[in-house]
Amino acid sequence: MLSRVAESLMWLSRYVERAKSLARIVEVADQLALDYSHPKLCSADLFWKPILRSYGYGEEDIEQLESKEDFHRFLLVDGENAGSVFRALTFARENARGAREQLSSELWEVLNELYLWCKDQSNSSATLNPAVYGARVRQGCLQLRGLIEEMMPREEAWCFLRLGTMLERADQTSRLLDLKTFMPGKDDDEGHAFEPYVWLCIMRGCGAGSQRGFGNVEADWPRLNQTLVYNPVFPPSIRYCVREVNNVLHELSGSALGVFNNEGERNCGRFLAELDLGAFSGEIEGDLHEFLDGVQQSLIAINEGVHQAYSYPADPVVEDDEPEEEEEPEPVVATQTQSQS
Amino acid sequence: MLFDNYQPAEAFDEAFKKSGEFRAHYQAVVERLGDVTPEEFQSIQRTLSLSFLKQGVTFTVYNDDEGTERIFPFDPVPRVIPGDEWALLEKGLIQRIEALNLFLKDIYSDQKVIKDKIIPKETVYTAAHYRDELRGVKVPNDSYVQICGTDLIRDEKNGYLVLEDNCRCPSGVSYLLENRAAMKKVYPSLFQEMGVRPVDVYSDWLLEVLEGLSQPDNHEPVCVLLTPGVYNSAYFEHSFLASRMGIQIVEGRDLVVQNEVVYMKTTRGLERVDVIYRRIDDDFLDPEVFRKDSLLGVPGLMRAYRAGNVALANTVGTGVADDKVVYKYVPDFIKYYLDEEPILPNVETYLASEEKEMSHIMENLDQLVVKAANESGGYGMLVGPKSTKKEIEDFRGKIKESPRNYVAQPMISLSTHPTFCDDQISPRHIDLRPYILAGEETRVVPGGLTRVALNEGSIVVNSSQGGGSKDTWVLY
Repeated sequence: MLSRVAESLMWLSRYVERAKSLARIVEVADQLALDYSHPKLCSADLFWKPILRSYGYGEEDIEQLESKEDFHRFLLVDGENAGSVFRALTFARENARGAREQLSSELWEVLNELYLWCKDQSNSSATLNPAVYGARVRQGCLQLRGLIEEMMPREEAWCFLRLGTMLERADQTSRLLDLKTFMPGKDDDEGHAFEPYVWLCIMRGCGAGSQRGFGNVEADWPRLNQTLVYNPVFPPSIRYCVREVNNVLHELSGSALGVFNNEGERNCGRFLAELDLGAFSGEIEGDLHEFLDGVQQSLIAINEGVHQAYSYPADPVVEDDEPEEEEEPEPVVATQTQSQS
Repeated sequence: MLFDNYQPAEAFDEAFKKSGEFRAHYQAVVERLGDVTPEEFQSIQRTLSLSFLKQGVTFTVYNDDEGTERIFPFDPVPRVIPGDEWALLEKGLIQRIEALNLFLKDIYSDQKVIKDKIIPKETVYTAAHYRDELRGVKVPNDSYVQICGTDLIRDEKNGYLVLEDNCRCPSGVSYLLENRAAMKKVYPSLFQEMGVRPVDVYSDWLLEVLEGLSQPDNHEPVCVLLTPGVYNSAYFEHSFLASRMGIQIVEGRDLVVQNEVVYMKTTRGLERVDVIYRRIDDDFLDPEVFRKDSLLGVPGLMRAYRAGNVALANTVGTGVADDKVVYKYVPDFIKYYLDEEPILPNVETYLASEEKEMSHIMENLDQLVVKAANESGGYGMLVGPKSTKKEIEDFRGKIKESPRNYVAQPMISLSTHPTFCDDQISPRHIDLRPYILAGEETRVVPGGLTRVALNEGSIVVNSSQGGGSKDTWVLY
């Protein structure tokens, strides 16, 4: 497969995963905000600003937004915000166009239809209902995943799609966990009463809302770590995702687990070992935010290693040209890093 | 009854005689579609448009900030061509492409056609797409044009006429295939009843032609389709054809030339490429040789090509045959190379570069259609009878300034066809682009892209200028 196409496939599924996750957290936060009223803080302070901070938006972006409708539009349909759900789907579609011959026409049509629907929403001035929007986006994204899982041979194309999904999912989980850092917490006057909402927001935002015994809304932080960081079998958990990445990487290179062929595999192996060891205690040592930052850095390192391993190294060196430090070629339209500060 | 009030226009109508009776080969279409109500027709049209939009069967409109993707409007009244009429067209098209290939081979080698004074040397050398640097370069099978889309029109007096040849990168074949797929869903019974010839063979034939251009020693030839990229207006067609043929679609940046061999960059390293179906114009192919600023091309491609290590379809330099001045000489080429009479005549053409013809053009500008010799897509054109005095005078100046770049033709009244517009069926002007594939055998896909000028009275059928398309049914 062409290196460019492999890259496009990976980014296609990254953006689909990102759109799904973002649509879900907006939906979840909006619903929770309806239930909770704080004596001093408004829903923007409680939910929306922390979400934007966790996704790495700068304060100047955050200050522009006032009403909850502003936040909804900014995160869901804003064509100017490269981190919005609509833009994620636009990028996904552009990458799919560049790799279209690898995808079934059905898959393309589902993505295209979802994109066209979201485009209509972006152009419409009607008030957005995040529950409706989120449901449509999640349904479309899950349908795409279904088509990939059901219809595609487990060959290279599938591997790169899988890789993108798992890398992005781990990244998304880490961002949502970071809400604990950014949302008002115990130190705050009213923090104690709000704490269950933080916990619910994270669990539901990650799709862990239907875990067994979830009727209990008391914040249970150790359980959060066990479910979303160290769980070996729960798909949104970081450890699960990284192990999947590890498996797919070895499937791609054909080497046995434990044997490392390229930087991507090495970085992934190292990170997975850390998570496996951490799972023994089930606790996060030190500051949560720092830990999550480390997670995101490790994921970036894996991504870079994969890029190096599967793209044609550099253009042939022409004589008397001094070797330049080549910038990494950008994937179609996509920006590699999220709108991160 | 949809056809009851149909009034054929002045021009030759494909479906109806002047008396108002339908032509025999349209019987089934008129009877079946006649029963459809305007509402049903609208709903068919909506369904089809929506399905094209969802599939992404779109082209991009340039000069538009958003780079809007639009569908090519589709008219669900099919054009029907009887078998015997098609047989003649087919013979004429094959004859024409054979002559053009011999002409191209000749001017890129001995140039006998110039020595024998069939065409003036200056005409060839001043053609915008003539590539003198390719003279003497041996091309596989001596074949220059493998993929050709010839534009035909029809009028009352002359029958089918060739309007222009497209020997560079003719596009539109995906519409032909997609239109057919859509029509088969809408009118399943008509296909059986009328005996419509299938067009699906196109991609198989195309792959055969491409593979025929290279005979590597120890492996099957590796063919790729080279596209300018996802933002090109015909990108849908590129990816459609590549996936139908099961070949890779590559951009210039996916290819690299080493030791005069072309490779593509894959996840497993470099893989050799033997044949490139390029959908990029000559100018952008190789910045080492042609436009230096081209980011779409592949540096070194022409070196690999000259060394015989890669085949290109179509060959570089074929655009000389698309020049509208060279066009005038094609009937002479047919006589000269094949010793045959042309089966499909040209439209009468006057050259501004010839003194006598120039004065005829100048005297009759308001009656003529003037075309720039190297433009396509309906641009750079003056339709005399439909233009204002000022437009005519502007053109007069342009022609005087560079006579070599203009030709004039009498205004041909394109044939009309029943077309669904504004809740009723009315006559609209059409043309026909059949697709010819020249490999070991030269074949014409039994069908074609019928383009229709949707605006009443208009004769410009280009998609960029308010044109739509129809499915073309060739009968057994």
